[in-house]
Amino acid sequence: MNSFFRAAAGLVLMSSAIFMVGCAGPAANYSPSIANVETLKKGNIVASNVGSITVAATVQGGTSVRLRAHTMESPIGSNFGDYIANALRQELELAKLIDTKSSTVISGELLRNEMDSSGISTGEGQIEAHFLVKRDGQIRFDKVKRADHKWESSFVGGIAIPNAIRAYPELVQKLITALVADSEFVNALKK
Amino acid sequence: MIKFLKFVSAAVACTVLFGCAHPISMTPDLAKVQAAGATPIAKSVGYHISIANRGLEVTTPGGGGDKVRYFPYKDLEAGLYKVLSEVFSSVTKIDDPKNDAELKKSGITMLIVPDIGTTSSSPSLVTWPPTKFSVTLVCTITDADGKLIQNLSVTGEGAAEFDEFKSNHSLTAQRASNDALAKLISALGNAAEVRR
Repeated sequence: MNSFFRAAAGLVLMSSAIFMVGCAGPAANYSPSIANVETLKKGNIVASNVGSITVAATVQGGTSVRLRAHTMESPIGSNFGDYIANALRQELELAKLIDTKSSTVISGELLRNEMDSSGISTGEGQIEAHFLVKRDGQIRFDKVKRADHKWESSFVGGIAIPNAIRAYPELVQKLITALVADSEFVNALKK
Repeated sequence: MIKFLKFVSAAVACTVLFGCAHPISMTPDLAKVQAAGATPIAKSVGYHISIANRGLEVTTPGGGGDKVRYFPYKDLEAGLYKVLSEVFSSVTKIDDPKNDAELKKSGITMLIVPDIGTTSSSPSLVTWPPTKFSVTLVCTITDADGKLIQNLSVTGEGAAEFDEFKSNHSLTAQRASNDALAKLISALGNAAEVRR
């Protein structure tokens, strides 16, 4: 009987070690918002290019975000600026409005990227980025956009951490929705 | 105190070992959703996912007696949109397929309503992420008047072992989604009834 309990304890420790502590892995894939895509399609805008979204030196979660004992990294490029640039690119691509040779270029700088998964019932995230639209080198749009997101969390790391990983694309989607919903942004991209 | 610690330990052990439904994402890698150089069919199509389906969370088996939960319609919607964009020249989201005014305004000639089924499994006693995942996409295709054109069904499979999914617990689901969407591109492109 003792050996059974030792085996069970071993399984608990192994499961905990694997899924509750000390792992590093990618954020979930970004999924474009169809509402954003439809807004872009109806905006009479030019096919545009997405340049780089850099990470401000002051941003702590620029290259990795701590989710309890787990480290979340960007599955795209080398930091979360690359993740956001790719997300924006996906929205434009789905609207068939991406042109890598376009003289209209959207770029930016990530100013804040925080995910707090420590809560036992709720997780919270904040993201903020400075976006620029340039056409032929001339600035047409220059604004900071931010978004907040809350999600269901848990006492159990095996649930809280995947929940936070799944919540990150939703936070980024809210940031891009804030950008696309700004009529000045759409006007800056107009033909 | 010892009793309390025993209770907490038992609770933690039960929670970790049994009955958890771990969240995963089925969201595909959109960069891999591409028609191989085919010219899009010159048709304007719409698709409809109900509000109830978009919010539907599904729970299926994982490993070690645990389960996984995810949102099939929400996670696959952008992938479905990309498939339709690759196959047809124009795609529109239809909020209410019974609203004649919306259908007329959209200008669509076909409406596609997806039905998504999933399965997952793992033989592991220790780890919870599924080692196998399947996605079945059944698309009911009608014309703008609601007359059935065709039913199409494809099934995508995804598999992964511990070394692969230890850093991405959603890997099998994502692979199955990508496989199903690739098969749907092919099935739509080859459907004579859809091209007419």
